[in-house]
Amino acid sequence: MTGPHRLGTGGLVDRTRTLSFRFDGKAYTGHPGDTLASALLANGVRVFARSFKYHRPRGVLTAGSEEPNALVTLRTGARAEPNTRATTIELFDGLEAVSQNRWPSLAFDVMAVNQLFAPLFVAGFYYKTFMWPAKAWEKLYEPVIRRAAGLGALSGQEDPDHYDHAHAFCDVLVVGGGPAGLIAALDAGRSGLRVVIADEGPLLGGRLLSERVIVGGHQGTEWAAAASAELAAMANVQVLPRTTVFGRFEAGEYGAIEQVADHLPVPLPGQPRQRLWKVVAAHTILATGATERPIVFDGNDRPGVMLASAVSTYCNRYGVAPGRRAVVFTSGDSGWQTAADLIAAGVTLVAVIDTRNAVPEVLAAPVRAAGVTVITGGQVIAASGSPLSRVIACDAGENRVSLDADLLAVAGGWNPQVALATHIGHKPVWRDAIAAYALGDPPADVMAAGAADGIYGLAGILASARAAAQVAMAALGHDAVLAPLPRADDVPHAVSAVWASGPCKAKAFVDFQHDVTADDVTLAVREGFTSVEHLKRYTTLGMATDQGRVSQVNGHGLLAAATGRALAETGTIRARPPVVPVAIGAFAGHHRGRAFRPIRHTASHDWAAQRGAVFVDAGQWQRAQWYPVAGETHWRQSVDREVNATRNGVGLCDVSTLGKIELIGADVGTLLDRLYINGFSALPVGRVRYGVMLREDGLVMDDGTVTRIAPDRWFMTTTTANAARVMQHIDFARQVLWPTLDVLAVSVTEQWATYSIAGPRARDLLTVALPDVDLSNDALPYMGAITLRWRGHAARLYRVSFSGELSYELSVPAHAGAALVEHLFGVGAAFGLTAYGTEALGVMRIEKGHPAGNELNGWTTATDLGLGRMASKKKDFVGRVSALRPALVDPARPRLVGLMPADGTATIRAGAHLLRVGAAPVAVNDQGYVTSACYSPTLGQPIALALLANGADRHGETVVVHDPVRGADVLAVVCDPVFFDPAGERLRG
Amino acid sequence: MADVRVSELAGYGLASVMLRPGVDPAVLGAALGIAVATGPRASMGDGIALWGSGPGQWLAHVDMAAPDWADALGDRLTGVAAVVDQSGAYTLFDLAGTDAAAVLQMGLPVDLSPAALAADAVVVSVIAHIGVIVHRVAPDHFHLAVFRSFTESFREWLNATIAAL
Repeated sequence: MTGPHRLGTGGLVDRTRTLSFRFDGKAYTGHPGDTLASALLANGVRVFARSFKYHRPRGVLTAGSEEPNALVTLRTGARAEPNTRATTIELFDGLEAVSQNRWPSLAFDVMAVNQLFAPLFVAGFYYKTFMWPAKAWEKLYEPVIRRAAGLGALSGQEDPDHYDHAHAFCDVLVVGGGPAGLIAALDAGRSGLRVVIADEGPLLGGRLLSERVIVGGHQGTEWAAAASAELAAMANVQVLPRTTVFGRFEAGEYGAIEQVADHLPVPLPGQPRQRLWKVVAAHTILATGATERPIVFDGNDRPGVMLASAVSTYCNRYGVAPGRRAVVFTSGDSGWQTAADLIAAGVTLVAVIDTRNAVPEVLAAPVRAAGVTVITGGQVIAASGSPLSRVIACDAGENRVSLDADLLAVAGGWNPQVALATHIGHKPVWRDAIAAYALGDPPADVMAAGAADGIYGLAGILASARAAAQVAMAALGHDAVLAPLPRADDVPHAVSAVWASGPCKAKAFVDFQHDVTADDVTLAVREGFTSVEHLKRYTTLGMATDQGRVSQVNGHGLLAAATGRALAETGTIRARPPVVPVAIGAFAGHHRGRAFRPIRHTASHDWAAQRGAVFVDAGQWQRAQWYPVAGETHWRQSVDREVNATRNGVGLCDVSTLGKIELIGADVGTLLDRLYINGFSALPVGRVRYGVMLREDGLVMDDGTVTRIAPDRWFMTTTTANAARVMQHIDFARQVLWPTLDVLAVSVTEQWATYSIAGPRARDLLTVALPDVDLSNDALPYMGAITLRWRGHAARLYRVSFSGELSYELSVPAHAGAALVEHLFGVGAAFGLTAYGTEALGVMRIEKGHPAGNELNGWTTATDLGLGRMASKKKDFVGRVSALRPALVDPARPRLVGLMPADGTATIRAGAHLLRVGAAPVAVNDQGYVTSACYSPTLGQPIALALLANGADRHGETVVVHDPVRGADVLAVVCDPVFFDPAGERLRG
Repeated sequence: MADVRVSELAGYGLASVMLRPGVDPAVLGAALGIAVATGPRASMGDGIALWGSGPGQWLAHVDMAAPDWADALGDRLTGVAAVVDQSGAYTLFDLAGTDAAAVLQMGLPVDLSPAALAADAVVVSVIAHIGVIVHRVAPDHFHLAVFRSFTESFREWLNATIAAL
């Protein structure tokens, strides 16, 4: 026997195996098939947690995912998972869990003193108190409140497990694997439809696992197992146990969370802990059942007060008696089933109290026959003891009785679970017949079946599910193949609308998880919060992780009573996804850590990594930033070496990440004329031209080069950052703006691996590397291009320069890129070929005054960047008119300039602002800012590019570089942005 | 253990084929001796397949390609379609086995049931935030063209997914 409350027989637990586990450090045992809650109850544990606000001791209220009380921290260390419902945790050997929101212990919690200050903590207390002084909120009030009113804490460690995603598509999604779900899935599956059936538990069967019923001549559990096996064997049916459908989204898409390995101590190798499903369904049957309601009375949160259906579940499914002496308090027929279950389990049933004056004799007679006191027209006034030891009740004549009991099973009616249907707008409507809100006019592709539709008799449930399946099949134009429905009996299931009983003067809880009381609801009404939405936000009713599945309707019932309105008029809220808490890790799935986003590698990546390159993220690309060599201890040493080696010899840089677009057609030149500010249609074959394109608003979008490969074939480069954007721009232009132009375009960014070979010895190196190619200035002049073959591969050689040196860009198909870089370095050893990274590339482009991303920042015009003279006045182009707006042609706009420290040594940092000498460092005096800065090993001093008001007219002026965050002010001299070889002699060499 | 065999192919040829304005796909088919499907399907010819990748666009695929095969294809289609070599642009993954579809379905937001996606179907979509062109060669056999720069990231997703199955 695993615990004193374990029944001698019965339940779906495997009594042949014993599992050991610990709760709050104490050792217990249970069986496979137990939940943590059932195993602890079997061991006589009654207090599981402390409540959110008042730190009241709490036990188990339910046996499912709607549990508001028994929240624990599961596992330890990095795998610790706070706020996990003990009622859904499948027991495993070695499980460790601790209670939370208590100090120093669950039995003695200092913060229970909060109950003494309960008058302060009424609804909306944080709106009314701690308002002054404002400074105290962040440093005092909030930390104190958070510490006092809280749940579990995260481990703070990296999650060692991983999560993944999956997709499913089906004709019919059946949500819930109870009797309704099983019949609906069987009907649809047998008829050949593609079916997905998801259930949050490890076993399909729903209430059949918790009730003593006969289906088709078999025990309900046996019938459920057989149905489950039949479904699993159907190729057209996908059964998803341990999977909760948590949200409905547009176009029949649902989110579901599968707890793949939560029932294991640790996931198996390779196994995700949880899996996020996207399920797309043509039709959905909600077989989500109904959640039992508690009744609000004083002390209704005492450990030992439990929903009647949960009591039945613990008795029948887990073979556990949750108490020794029980009282059943019910407002409908279903409580009497629990009474019968308790009697069958051998629990001493002290009394059954029904709020109704008349009770079907078929229910009451067997209970009376067992010697149990039956009180009709009665109510519970209060529950006392912690845990529960006494129930104060009264009969129809208001005669009080005091009952010794350690278990009070409460049956307040049922709430159909239709939250999923409300996620994209449907609002449930009140049905008097079932005293609950249910679907009114649901979305066309959604139907509720069984208890989710307010049908509680088993035979009715099965018939309802069949009807729903038939509707789905008819909607999908599919013929139904139906077997006779299994025989089942309807039991009485009448219910009356009772929200509260007794005086509710002490703590009578509506929302257990958020400690919202009946007083809070009436207070909210007194203060004018009379709509369900205002009540929710003012009191936080239904805003806890249980989404108010247990509490919401009682709150609305009390609201209706307090405002004198009918329930139909009061209405209820629409639920929002997720139905159950979903870990952020599940949404992230595979995409965490290194895989947070896909990484792009160039063809030379492995080669660079082998040379010890330090990489930098450039969007998704990883680019070599610099290549440290032995003896270099600071990045500047590497970068200075790489710049010097290139300027004085020859260097190689991988520039494959630049965007590349191939354009084909007779009208490409015309299109390019319209996209760039300068002209292209007259560009000869074999020539390259630099171009600038604007956005519609006249600001610079991107720059790059265009090469005319053949009369009707052109090749464009873009910046790395704007590759996709420019491709979109071109497609929009050719498909929407000018669809009659004969232009085809396709991205070839990935096709070409491109290496820049720069430096005075570049030609010498390539002459050896490409012995069949004439590299003379006549054959391949600056801004010329040729096509060639390298080892049979198509190759292209462009004479362009970003560094300002004699430079070539050599392209081969990317699958040949690694071989090419090896070849070039094999040949290049004799020339001292040096690999250089993006940092050296940046230094050299700053030395040459080339604008790049820091300057093409979306705020600058071509004129700002000194490129205005490129704009053709003979043609129209995108952005031309907007670029003429007064604000964009204002000569006082910041213009690109160079800066050099006045003392020749001071560091200038990008981002620093510029001031006139002597001007106060305030925004109104701002003259511009530094866009790019570096140490120039070529010039032997720091240099920078900046955007300075009237910059073109201020060369020679001294300005203050104001950088209050990172350093002291620096004096700098404004100069031309081209620091090196302004005549461009080297690149034409 | 999932029944899926993954390999990264080599030696293949891929090229963008874009119909010239006003040219009927049938003309393209006639030039190649293929009955060209205009939707997202593969049109199989003698040693060459055209994977429909967009309106008037295909990705031509050959198992083994000479370095100049795209140029030759372009010459063959002069006046009919523009051809741009993409052999270096994509890594071609080959997935085969009874669990191949299940592996793909973990990442591909497109219904892979044979009824919805028959053999020879082509899908231009995304897996794990990585663009992918899928050609269903047979019910349990797929070709996946992934931009070469994403190869390592895609391989990591594939390995993790197969391990999780």
